[in-house]
Amino acid sequence: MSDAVPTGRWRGVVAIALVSVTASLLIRRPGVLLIAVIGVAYAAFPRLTTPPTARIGLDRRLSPPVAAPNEEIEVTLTITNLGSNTLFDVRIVDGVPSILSVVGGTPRHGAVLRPGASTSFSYVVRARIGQHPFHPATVVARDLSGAHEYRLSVADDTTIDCEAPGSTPPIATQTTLRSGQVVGDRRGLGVEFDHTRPYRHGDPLDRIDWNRYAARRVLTTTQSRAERAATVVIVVDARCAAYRGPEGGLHAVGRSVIAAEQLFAGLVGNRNLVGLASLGAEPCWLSPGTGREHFLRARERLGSHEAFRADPPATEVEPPMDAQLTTLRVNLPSNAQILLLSPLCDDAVADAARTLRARGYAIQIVSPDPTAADTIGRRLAAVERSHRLALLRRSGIRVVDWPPGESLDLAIATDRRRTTPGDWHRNLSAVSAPPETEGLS
Amino acid sequence: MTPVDAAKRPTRVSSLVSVAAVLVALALLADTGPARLSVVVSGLGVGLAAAGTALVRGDSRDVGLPIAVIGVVCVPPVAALAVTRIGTPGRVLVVVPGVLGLAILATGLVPIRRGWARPLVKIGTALVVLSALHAGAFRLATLPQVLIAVLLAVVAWDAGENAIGLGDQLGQRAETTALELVHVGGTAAVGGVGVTAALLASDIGTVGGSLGALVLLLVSMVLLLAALHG
Repeated sequence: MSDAVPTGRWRGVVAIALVSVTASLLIRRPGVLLIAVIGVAYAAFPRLTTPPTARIGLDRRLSPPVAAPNEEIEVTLTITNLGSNTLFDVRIVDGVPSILSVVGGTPRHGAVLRPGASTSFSYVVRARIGQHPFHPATVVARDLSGAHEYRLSVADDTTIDCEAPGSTPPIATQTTLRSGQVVGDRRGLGVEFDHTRPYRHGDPLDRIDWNRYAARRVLTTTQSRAERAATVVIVVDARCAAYRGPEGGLHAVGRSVIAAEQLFAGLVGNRNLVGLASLGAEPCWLSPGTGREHFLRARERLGSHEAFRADPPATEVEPPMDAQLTTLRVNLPSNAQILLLSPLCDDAVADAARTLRARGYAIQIVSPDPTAADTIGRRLAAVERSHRLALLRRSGIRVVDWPPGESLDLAIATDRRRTTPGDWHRNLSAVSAPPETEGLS
Repeated sequence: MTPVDAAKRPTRVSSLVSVAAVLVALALLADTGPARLSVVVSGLGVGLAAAGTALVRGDSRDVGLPIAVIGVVCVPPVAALAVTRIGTPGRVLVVVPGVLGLAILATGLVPIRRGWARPLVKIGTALVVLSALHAGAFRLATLPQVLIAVLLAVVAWDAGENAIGLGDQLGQRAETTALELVHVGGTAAVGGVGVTAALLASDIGTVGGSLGALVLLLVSMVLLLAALHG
């Protein structure tokens, strides 16, 4: 509760009185002296109005209360004067979550409120994936003369909750032994048909490929690849250097948080063990787990943890990347795969990815592209970033480049159609070998 | 994510009230034909400039820019006209600061530059008060006219400054009409009380009287002002 602050806007009105008194003396016209009366009246005005002591009630309604991503939500705010004085000048600015954009109306309003009266206004917001709690609304009340101002924050626990449709994540094939949906490398008894081999004495009868026997009189046994669960840790790059993005658009950390929720939903939905971690000044860690409650815990972390906030951190005091990596490795289970979400704006994170791979972790990267191409400096940054991506790909790490306008699913699907690291080596050896000639005469 | 500068301009209602108040004040102070003509023409010039600016901002640049330029170009020749045609130095001292004040106030409320908005509004309305003072000094207008012109100048300043402050805090798109009108009403009411008191004081006793009475009035005024300023 703060006290009323003087605004000083009526400073200078006294000059009218002073000037007219002086003028009337100089030119000996008493009529001019009367102008000073008006100056005096206005100089007294701020002292006659009492500073407001405002008690304000706030009610925020969302329509619809739950929305799909990119749907429009109308927010209606009702402000009530709970005090016993008339508030002649009430100015309201609503605390829209920083990550959401206002697409209709404005979250600002002014009103005159008698005791007990209320005013309401609405504006339209576009929903994004995730949990977005509203900040407190700022209310500024002034007295009639505008000489005193009283500021307060009124909070109402409203949250915009937007669930992600699960998307297909690009995870590698290293597995643990829980039944999930990653088709593992170990062959044996599982549920997906993989290949056939000649029948050996002792193979179970229900595994014989009877169709082939009927066609060719050859006994073969089918073998399937086991579907195994994976342990995946999603690491969000939330360092200072990652808060980059095109002007007027969402920065890379915001996009990474949205992607993290989508990928988490996709992986947990397929019964994998998924954890959450972050790089930055305030690291977050959620041990891998599974189930709906675990997913809700992760959503809550992504929405409200210090590490993932929408505004870049004010201080640049972050532990060096080595220290952060050590902390991360202490927490990581040994068979965990890492899914790193980072814009790859600097070399430290690219080196960190290579270090983790060298230590034996399977790592893949989804990189929201924060670059623009309008100035030479930005184009240079874009070129440096593509160079970093190329180097990472050459060292065997899969990097999905996610351009700003596209959905995550499309970016992953486009990347799947690219050559895998194995194909890269094959193509390279084909180029370096001399062309075979059909026969020299 | 939302654009800042365009939405933070001074609010429309209070800006209109401010300019209208200055126009009425000048109309009250101008007593002869040429003086009135110069006030009317400068008012038209400001109106054209405002309409042109609104059109330019609303993406009709080709139409808006010429209109705005005509409006801006109108005002200085009018001031020059006033100087030459109006004749007596007294009238010139009444009309010229008034017209200049109107032009400066209008440029402050456009706004030409955000940092200059408040000072321009203050200077513009101060010039209008100055022209009212001259009208009172040279007896070119009656006492009620002079007093009401001063009241209108202060109302114009208050409305203009409120427009700028509201534009900064809430922006042009927010709904603030009731708030602005109540504020201006309050200021006008206080000014009305002041004008009534001044008119009553002018009726009581002969103001053209002794110097002693004047000195006493002066001393009491100074004491009151000192109390208020502190």
